[in-house]
Amino acid sequence: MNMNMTTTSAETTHGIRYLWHFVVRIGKVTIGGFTQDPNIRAGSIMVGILLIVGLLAPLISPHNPYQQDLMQSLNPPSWKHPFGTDLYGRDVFSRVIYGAWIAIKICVIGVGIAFVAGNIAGALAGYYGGWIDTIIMRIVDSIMAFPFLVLVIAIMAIFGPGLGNLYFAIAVVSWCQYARIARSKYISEKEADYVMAAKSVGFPDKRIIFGHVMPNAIAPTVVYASLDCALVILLAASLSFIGVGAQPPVPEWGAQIAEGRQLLQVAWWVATFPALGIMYTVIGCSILGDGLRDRLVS
Amino acid sequence: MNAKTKRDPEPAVIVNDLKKHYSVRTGFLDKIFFGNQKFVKAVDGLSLDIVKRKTFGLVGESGCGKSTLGRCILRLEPVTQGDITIFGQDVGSLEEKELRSFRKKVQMIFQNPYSTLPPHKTIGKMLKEVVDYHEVADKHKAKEYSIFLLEQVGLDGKFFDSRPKALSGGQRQRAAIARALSTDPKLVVLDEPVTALDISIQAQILNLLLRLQEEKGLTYLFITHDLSVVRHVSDVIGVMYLGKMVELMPAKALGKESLHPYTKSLISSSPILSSFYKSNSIELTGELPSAIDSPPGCKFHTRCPYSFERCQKEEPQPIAVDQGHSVACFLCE
Repeated sequence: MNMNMTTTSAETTHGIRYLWHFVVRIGKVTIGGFTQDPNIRAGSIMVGILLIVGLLAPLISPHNPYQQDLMQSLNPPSWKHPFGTDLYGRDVFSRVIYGAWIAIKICVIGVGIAFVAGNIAGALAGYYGGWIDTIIMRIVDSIMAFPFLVLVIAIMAIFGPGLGNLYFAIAVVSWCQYARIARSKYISEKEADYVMAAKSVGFPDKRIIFGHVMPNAIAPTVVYASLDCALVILLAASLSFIGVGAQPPVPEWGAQIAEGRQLLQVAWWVATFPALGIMYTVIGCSILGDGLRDRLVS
Repeated sequence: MNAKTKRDPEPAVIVNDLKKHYSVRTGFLDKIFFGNQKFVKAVDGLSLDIVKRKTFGLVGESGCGKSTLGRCILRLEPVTQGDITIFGQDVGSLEEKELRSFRKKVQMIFQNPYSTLPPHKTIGKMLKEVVDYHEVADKHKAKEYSIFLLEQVGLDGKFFDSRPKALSGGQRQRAAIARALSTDPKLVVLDEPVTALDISIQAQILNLLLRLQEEKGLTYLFITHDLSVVRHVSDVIGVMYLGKMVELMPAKALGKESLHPYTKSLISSSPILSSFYKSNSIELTGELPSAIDSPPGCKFHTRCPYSFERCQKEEPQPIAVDQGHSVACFLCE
């Protein structure tokens, strides 16, 4: 089969344009579904609140999340500190709000890289088949053969703990699912008559894959991405909890739970509120994902 | 075939002894115990000429290789053996750059208008994309040109902003025709262009195709299984059976003068034609044999009521019986 890998800028912008069109379409579906679909309504409100809180964290939070005040150590919830204070006297409310911003970053960067890489790999594997398919899918299989957490811990151990490497580690392990989903969709879509018609008109492969097939094949991976956000936040929290993810004093939710774990009997608020934050985000993403699935994949 | 020896001065398409075999995936044990790789012989040694500005009607049952032939002509599939020459160009040896201008000259219209239009694009965008890609019109005139194309196939310009979902079957097929004509082609392969449409729409689309052929001087390869349709639009008719051409005749000869038993059986299966040519029709029984293990000798002998011993051993070669009329059957010797 003719690969036609010569990049012309026209084709590249074409692909980007269609990706953008698709983003617009998801936006329209979300807004259109807002009035009709209770899942989309609830999910987008929950995720929307999270986004607003996360983006406006410096404005909303009453205290500096890093500001220590040992005199105020382990104060219970009060009007001054709605969620109480931790061992070092930092305001838990502000730290939870800043944690939302970190959760958003993890979702956008980690899931974003995995989404793009997985879609491209799946598209090539599904559309071309043959040896390209074999190579890509065997890589996917070998990554997925590892237990998810063990692989991420191994990567983090190699590159060192920290938020920057956390995004990377998450992307490395989670692109596989996107590749699998995209591949199966491309395999069924490439047999469609409109693809044959595009070929007979003479469009190069690149334009057919990104301009014609992708808009019709991307929906399942978008739905998976919204569900994956929940998984990734949990994963990041677990990693931070065991100490290979975000490092103190970064107000990452998992790290905060780890800090509050020993204090659970004397100061329940230190670990509970970050945990509620995780729960809220995971539920919101899952509900939105369910709603999008009903409307996008049908 | 007869047409091959007495070539028309300017054939648009020359297909010479074309073979297209697909390898069948056999199981691991099959390979060990039986060794041989099996092939589906979709097209198995077929030759034809299409005269410029004429319509060649290709008829046959489902699965006889008609559509495969169409795809090979457009080079959507690589050919196993044989060569195809279109307007003096050898299709198999086209380079990347030549292929682009070749695609411009040769277009295809597909059977199912419900699936051939990209579902996520408006009709206008679909046309503009083709127009821009092949640089048929200036960029800023692409929209005007697209609307002109729509009007040419009898669609209102307001469909420019519609998605395929909003169009009926006939309108979709018109849009597909507009797309095929947007590059100003010389040859159009019509793969069952009206099969998926209502009878009343079929006539409209056929008349549109005929009008466009006259206006633009198009050459058509009309692939169908519907004999009454093919007789209406074609100049020459080829009847295919299991990857081979069994009869080649002028369109007027279809019916009374058809000689091959398979052609006769096709006539008898068409309600309209069989009532006209009752004497020249035979009932056909049984299924089309598998193209993997196609029968030896004449491929039709398993279902032919006139078959005799020789049919099972030898393969009949096409014999000229009349001007532009040849039959591959021992009965006609």
